[in-house]
Amino acid sequence: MKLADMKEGDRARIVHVNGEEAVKRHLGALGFVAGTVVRVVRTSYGNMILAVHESRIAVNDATAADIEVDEV
Amino acid sequence: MNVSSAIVVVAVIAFAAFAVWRVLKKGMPCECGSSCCCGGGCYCKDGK
Amino acid sequence: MANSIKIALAGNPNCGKTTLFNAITGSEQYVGNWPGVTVEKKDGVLRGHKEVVVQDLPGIYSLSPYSTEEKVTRRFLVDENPDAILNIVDGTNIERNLYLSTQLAELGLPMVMAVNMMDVVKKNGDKIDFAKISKALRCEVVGISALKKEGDMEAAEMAVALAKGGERGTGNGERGGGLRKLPDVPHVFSGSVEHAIAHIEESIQGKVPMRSIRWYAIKIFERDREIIRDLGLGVGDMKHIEEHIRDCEKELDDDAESIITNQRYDFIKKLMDKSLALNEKHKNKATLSDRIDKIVTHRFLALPIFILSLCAMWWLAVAENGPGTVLTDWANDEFLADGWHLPFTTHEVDGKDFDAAQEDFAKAEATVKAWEAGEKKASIEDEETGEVSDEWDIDEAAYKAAKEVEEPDPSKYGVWVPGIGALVSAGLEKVGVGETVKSLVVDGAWGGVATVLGFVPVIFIVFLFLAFLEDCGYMARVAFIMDRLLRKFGLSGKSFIPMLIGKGCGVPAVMAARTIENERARRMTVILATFVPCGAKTVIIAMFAALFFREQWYVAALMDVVGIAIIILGGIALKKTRFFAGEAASFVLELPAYHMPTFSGVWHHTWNRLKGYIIKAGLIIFPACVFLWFVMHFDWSLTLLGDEEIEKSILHDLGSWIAWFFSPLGFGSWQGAAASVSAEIAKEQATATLGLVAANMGGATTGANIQAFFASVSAFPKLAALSFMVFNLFVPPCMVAIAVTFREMGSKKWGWFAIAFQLFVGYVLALNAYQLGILFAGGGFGLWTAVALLVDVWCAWMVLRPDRKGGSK
Repeated sequence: MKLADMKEGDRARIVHVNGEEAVKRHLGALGFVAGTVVRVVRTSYGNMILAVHESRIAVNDATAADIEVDEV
Repeated sequence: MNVSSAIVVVAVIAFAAFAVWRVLKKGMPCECGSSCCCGGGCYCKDGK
Repeated sequence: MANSIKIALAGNPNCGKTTLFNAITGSEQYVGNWPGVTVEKKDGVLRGHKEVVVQDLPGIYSLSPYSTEEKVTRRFLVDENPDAILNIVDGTNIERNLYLSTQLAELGLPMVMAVNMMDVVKKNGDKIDFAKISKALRCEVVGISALKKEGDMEAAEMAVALAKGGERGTGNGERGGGLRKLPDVPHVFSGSVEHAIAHIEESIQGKVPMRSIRWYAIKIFERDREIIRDLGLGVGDMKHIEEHIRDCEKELDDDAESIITNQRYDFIKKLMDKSLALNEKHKNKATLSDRIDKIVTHRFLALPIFILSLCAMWWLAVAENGPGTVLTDWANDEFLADGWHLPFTTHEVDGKDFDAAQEDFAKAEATVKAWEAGEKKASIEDEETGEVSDEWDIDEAAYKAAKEVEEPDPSKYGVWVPGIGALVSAGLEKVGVGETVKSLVVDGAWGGVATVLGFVPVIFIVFLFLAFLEDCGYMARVAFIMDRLLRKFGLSGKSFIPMLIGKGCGVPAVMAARTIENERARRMTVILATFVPCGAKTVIIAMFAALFFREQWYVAALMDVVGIAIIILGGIALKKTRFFAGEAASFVLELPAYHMPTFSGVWHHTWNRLKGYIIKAGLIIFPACVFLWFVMHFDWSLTLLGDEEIEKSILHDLGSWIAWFFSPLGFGSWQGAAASVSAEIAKEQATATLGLVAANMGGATTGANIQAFFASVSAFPKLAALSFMVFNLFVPPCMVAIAVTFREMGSKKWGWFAIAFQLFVGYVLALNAYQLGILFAGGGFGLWTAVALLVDVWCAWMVLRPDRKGGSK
């Protein structure tokens, strides 16, 4: 499933990151790698704030739709 | 025009000319805040 | 310095690097919070170590060669051979920070890792095992708190010691002489990848410094184009290497870069399992930041909260009894003009205080004037509104008594500080300068600069407020909130960041559009970035708020709202044209934890902006006003004109040639034209020029003159003033920003398009403000009212029409 499908409070394990090279790389550096578990802190009209390790990363819906996850 | 007037006028024009020269040379003083305006410190020269 | 040691300061954004830099170098650099904009390398001398230079590098997440910050940092670390690296790591966010640390460690340079924010870590009850991390990453690891100045100098000095000793650090350092020996760097990857890396290292031996060979090999494995090019690796060399890489990719079913990234995090995870013990009590619980965000990014509350904070800012800055207005009035009417009493030193003389004595004197003057003119009644008129506030009968006795009244001497009523204007005036008189030259200085040069400087309190408050919001972390949330809003209309929040930056100055705002990869989105951002009023435009707002909208302080806040509205609506309209249609870009932004900004941080942030503005007054406004004074007081044959002959001046003629352009807007006179055009030098020049050209309106102050001026050009002065303000706020920005626009667009065609668009928007808004304002004020419906409405309909259609089916990216 896609990260975009998750709801507030859900935890998801990253399976794969799709999308443009530049975005993938940036997300990777921020911790969006296969195996990492992220928590959805807030969703807002499709945009999301995610807790990745101890940081908070905001992504828009287009980006969230490019991230494949498994629900945890 | 008397002497003091002349001096004042010259002083004013000189300062104005100096200011213009400085801006042309060093760039426009920018209001830098969290970021510096341009590549080199707080002076913007033709957007460099 | 001949033997200077270079220490590189590297780390993630928001890890406290710059705070540390300031602490250890005694410097006053301010923290940049926005990705893509602070690409400055700053350096400073380490305290107490004259021979050590500390280089603060931009905050980065990784050493890839793609963003400007990364490139700058990489260049420095790889090409300029720092003697040691001081890696700052945010202790409250350790895993993500270590991603960069592993890369830095692979460079093979002596390295000290300073784990910052230990005060917070301890408070949370978490524990970090430095020894284990040190062993795994083969470098020294210490804990510090840059904020509390604990351990910062020690960490720096450790780096210096390592640099001097040329050693790598703990963890079985195997260096020390012998170029043949490989440096001691962490081995982060798995079997087959390590295998490939070893092969690559063999191929590039001799081409790179031995100590960094591993880093280079990993980069080549990731197919880093810059490294491959820099090392001059030809197709032949790469062919062999490619095979190895592809083998790995096939085996692990992923691309090389992802493999590296994943394995780094695997390594970090394993390391953290061993060395990080999070306090169970707070693990996974919402942090304070989260709780604040719950409200601040709430789907319904977010935008109102943002608008409310803007209103709070403007209320403080320009509301009638707010601090901004009080200080600005003092500056304009007293400090820069005639003078003022030091607070707490005023007292009464003969039972009257200074103000009352002045009133008495004014009455006496009016009595004298009226009697000598043969009147039977005397009156006091308000300078600014013309309202008669007092009227009384006079007779000869009253006249005789009035003649005896002396002007009160302010120094008798308290400690009097003469205003700068008064001092300048008096000084010139003392040296015997002629009236004309006096006018040049007092009305022209000084007058213009004073007009602009008088509003320093207002922009100070605005800058202070913004600095606070930025430093505490709220602005990142605003970018997120606005993205949500902008996205609904096909735009991106990434474009909004430059616009927030624009609240200080439009130039970096336009330049920040560089961070947007998508060309169309970038172009659109460049066009729209300057609609949020910048610092200089704030001066215009400040002046008009003070002169025309004292009771309506919200007009000032409205200008910000209008700016944002234009960005949204303009963006929507542009997106629907074939030049900008396309998909919405991605948006990724880190939201740093909220933290209370430090007083010194906010102060420096604010002062840096303010300083630029004040210097600008001396360097730009001053000469501009001198020039304007000359073209106002000379005619085409360069004869000096008298005060009454201003209609013959050069400026009058120049202004009149284009005044027609501004007629529908309510200020179609040579003065209005001159002021608006002069704003292209610097936006705040509009206020100074207005002050100059209105000087012969006969008012008591510059402000009164300007009010009188607008009354003279329009039957609806307040609307004309509003229209003037709106026009100058929303047409193309000052020359420098325009130059940057052309530069960032990269093409003259797009540059001109941007200018045309901005001119159109500014004009239409001003037209609406004036014409529709008149309509609602009962002034009737005219030709231009109709024009305004028609244009509005067209604009509405441009915004509301159905979407084009998206073009190619």
